[in-house]
Order: sequence, then C-alpha cells, then structure tokens
Amino acid sequence: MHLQTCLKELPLKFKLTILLKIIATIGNISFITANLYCQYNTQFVETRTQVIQGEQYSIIKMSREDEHVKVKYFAAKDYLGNSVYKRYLDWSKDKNIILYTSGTYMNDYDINLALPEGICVDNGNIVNKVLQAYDGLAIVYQTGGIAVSNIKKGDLTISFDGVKKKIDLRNALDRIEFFKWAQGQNATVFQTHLFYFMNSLLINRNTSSNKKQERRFFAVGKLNGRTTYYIINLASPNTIYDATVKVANFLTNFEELEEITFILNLDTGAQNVFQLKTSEGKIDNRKSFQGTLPINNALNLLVYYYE
Amino acid sequence: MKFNTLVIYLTLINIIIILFFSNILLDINKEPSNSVILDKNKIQTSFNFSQFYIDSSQSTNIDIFNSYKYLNSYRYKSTKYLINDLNKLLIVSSHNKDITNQYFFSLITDSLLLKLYPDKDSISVIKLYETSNWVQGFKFLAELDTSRNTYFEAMYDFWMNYISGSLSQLSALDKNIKFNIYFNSLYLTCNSNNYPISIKYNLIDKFVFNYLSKNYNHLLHATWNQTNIKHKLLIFIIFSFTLILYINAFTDLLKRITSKV
Repeated sequence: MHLQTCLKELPLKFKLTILLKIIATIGNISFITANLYCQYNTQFVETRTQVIQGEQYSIIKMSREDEHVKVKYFAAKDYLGNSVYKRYLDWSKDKNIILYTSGTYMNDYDINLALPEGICVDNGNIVNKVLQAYDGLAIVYQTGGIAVSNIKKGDLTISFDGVKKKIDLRNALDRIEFFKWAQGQNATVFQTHLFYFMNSLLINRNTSSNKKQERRFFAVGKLNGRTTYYIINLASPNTIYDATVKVANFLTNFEELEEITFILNLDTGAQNVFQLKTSEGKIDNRKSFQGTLPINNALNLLVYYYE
Repeated sequence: MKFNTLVIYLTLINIIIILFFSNILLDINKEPSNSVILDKNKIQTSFNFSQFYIDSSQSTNIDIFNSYKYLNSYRYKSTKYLINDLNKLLIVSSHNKDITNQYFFSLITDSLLLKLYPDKDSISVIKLYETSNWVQGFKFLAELDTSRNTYFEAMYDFWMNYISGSLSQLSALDKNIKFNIYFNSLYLTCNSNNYPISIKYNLIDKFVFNYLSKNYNHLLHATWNQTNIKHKLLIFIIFSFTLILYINAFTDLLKRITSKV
C-alpha cells in the first residue's frame, strides 16, 4: 500500500524513467543469459541444407569477422599416448564447440596402429615426415587461424628469427629446416588434398579416383572482403572430381564469393567422423550433419569453436 | 535341400578358406628372387681420388669430378667414407662450401636414386630393405659432423621418404605384402623414425574389420555408396541364397527331430 501511494505521488516523467530503466535491465540480463547459454552467435555461424539439381548440400558457413570463430586441429595422439578423443574431451570442457570433423587420411585401418598420412606436426611434435603427393599443407595457428600452402608452388614462407625464407617442401634440405621451424614454433601442420587454390581448379577428371562416396570439404573464401570458412558435406555418393566442381560452382554461383582461397578435402573414408552442434550447444540431429562413425574412431580432428 | 547338400556347401567354404590362408602362408615363406643383399666384400674403393686431385689441379671446376665413376665404385655403400670423400671434394673445389655440399648432397640423393632405382620395376622389398640399412648410417653422420648435420639429416630424410613412399605403393599393388617378413621389418623401422608406411586393405579386409568393430552404420553406408548395381545385386543373391540354405537346413533338422519323436 505504501509503495502504491509512493508511486502515485511521483511525477509522470519520473515514473517513465523508472519504467525504461527496468526494461533496459531486463534486456541486459536476458542478453547476458542468452550469451552464457548459447554456444555460438548465429550472426557468425549459419547452418543450412540446400538442394541443387537433386544434390543435397549441407553447409556450415562461419564468418571470421572479429575472429570469434576459431580452428583447432588435433593431429594425432600426444607424446603421452592420449588419444585424440581424450585430448578433445579435456580441451573442450570450457570451449563453445561449433563442430568437429575428421581431418586428413590415416595410414592403417586399425585406429590403435594408425598414423596420419602426409607431413604432420602436432604442437611441435613431429608425427609424420613423409611428403605425400597431396598438394595442400595446412598450418593451424595457436590463435585459431589457418593458412594453406600449395606444395607444388614451393613458396611456403616461414620466418626464422625474423628473417623470412621461402621453403620448397619437395626439397629434403628445405624439409629439414621446416621441421626445425615447426618444432621451435610448436606449430600444428597437416597435409591433405588441395583441390582448389586461388580461384583455380587443381584436380583432373582423368587422373583422379572414380570411387563414389560421401564427400566433405573445408573451403575458405572472401565474401564482401571478409574471410569466411565453409564446411560443405555432400552425403550422396560422388567422385572426388564431381564433388569438387559442384562445391566450387556452389561457392561461386550461390554464395557469390569474390575469391575461393582454397578447398581442402576431409576424410570421409575410414574415419568418417562429423558432428555439428546447434547454437544452444545440443547435437544437431540432421542426418546430413553427422558422420557414420563415433568420435572415438577419429585419428585426427578439425574442431571449430566460438570465443 | 537335403543335409548332404549342406555338407557339400560347408566343405566348399572350408576349401576356399584353406586356399586363402595357404596363399598367405606361401607369401610368408617366399624368398625374394632378386636378392641383392649388400655384400661387404664387394665394397671396393676403386675410385681414385689421387687421380681426381691431379685432374682438378688443372681445372678448378667441380664438374670434373667423375660422379658416374664414383657412384659405380661402391665406395658410397659404406657411409663411413662419405665424410672423407666430401672433405676431399671441398679441398679441391674452387666453389664455396655450400655449393660443394649441395653438389655432394645431390650426388648421394638424386643421382644415386637414378642409379639404384632407374624405373618402377627395379623397386623390390628386399632392395628397399638394403637401402634402409644403408641409410641408417646417415643418422650417425649427422651426429658426428655437426657443421654439416643438416645435409646428412636431409640425405636421411630423402631416402626414408623414398623407402616409405615406395613401400606404400607396393602395398597398394599387392595387398598381401603386409605378410612379408622384410616388409614388416621395414614397417617397424619406418614407423619408429616418423616415416610411416600406408597399409592398403582390400574390400573384404575392410568389411571384416568394420564388422568386428561393430561399425554397422559405417559399413552399411560405405557398402551402399561404394557398390554399383551389379555388386548390390550380387550381395542380394548371396544373402538370399545363404538365408535359403539356413532355412532349409533348419526345417530339415526340425523334421528329423519330429520324426524321431
């Protein structure tokens, strides 16, 4: 009763100010709660499926604007023998995960014996020194960024004590220097097929495999001048050439990218691991956003998270 | 279908299994025909460095070094000579150290590779096994000669990359090579030195592996995606045939039991 009389006695202008302040406080609280609850902001991460000429594209589009979306790569077991799955569980406890997918290929079918194929360094720990015929070398930075070099161009630039040097990984002498640099920098590096680089298609229909299977790609391009990451999954069986061309056409014609920086292939064979989380942090149950194997079958993991 | 037919069917399956495993056993015991195991007695030091000094006094060009003769002298086969040979080359060369080191590196890697493995047919497990044994010497050279360790490490890296890559290719061509004793030895050597070999499996191996690992979803998905209509039809026929056999055998057994009762 006392409060009512007090409010009645207050001038209208003052009442309005109190009302506005209450609304603003409620708004702020709900915004903070939503941010605490949400895994990621849908302004930066968009997921959708799109059917083009009978082909279903499952698309995860992530903007690198303000560098909220970051990448982490688990290349192999650590030096203590902890599996990628265990490492991921430990690391992801305080992270807002967007998705995870298997990265490069493995050299054996048995996960306990297998190692990643191609040049591979995990946090400065050298896992594989064998240079495979794949063109793509991805360097994942501690800051959450990723850079890809075309090995066949032989122009990977690395910095030794502030001095920049071009490295051609096809040369054994340069490879030794590269491994020394990777160890010194605690770098994470992996090699995989590079099918598109700087707006040019690198795959040939006649020399590529005719095997038809589910395909998944990691593409990076420029959209309105901003770097954008894409994970595109084609669940229906496609040859690698057809799938690459379809994805490149999609990025050019539907996404209207100004530049396709690169398209990397992700393993959908022996370790078809893939899972997307919704912005609320739940598992996305759409079948085309899921792999056929559980995460403990992954020898390596490419993880996208929001910070 | 009578019980006898079932016995014949099972016997046939047994024969197929025995044949399959006997093939594997034969592969284990098979000795490579083109054995060229490094014979230490064959190592000659016929390359005449004295003559090279005389020749080089008339010319200061590194090109007068007879690389062809050197690689045919078997001298390179013992890695302990390599540091000495490189030092001699550095004395007579008018070029700077880096160019001479680079020249020697190229000689022991690219030129030697062409000599030892001129084509794909010359690649064999046993030959790669010998090369692997020889290459291990470079690790000690890199520790011994700290001023040129990068060159020796790079020589090691070059050859191990070649060995691992070649074994992966051989594994892709012959799926049973993983049972070869030399291949297994090389597999361990390569893996322990961070040069892992890719092991290729055939479809049956993959099928069995996924089945035993209970990856049924993956198995079904991969089978459906990777088989054409003929394969799908064949799988359906085999599956139906096996199912009919089991049903027949079961009904036959039931009849026998009921007739006895």
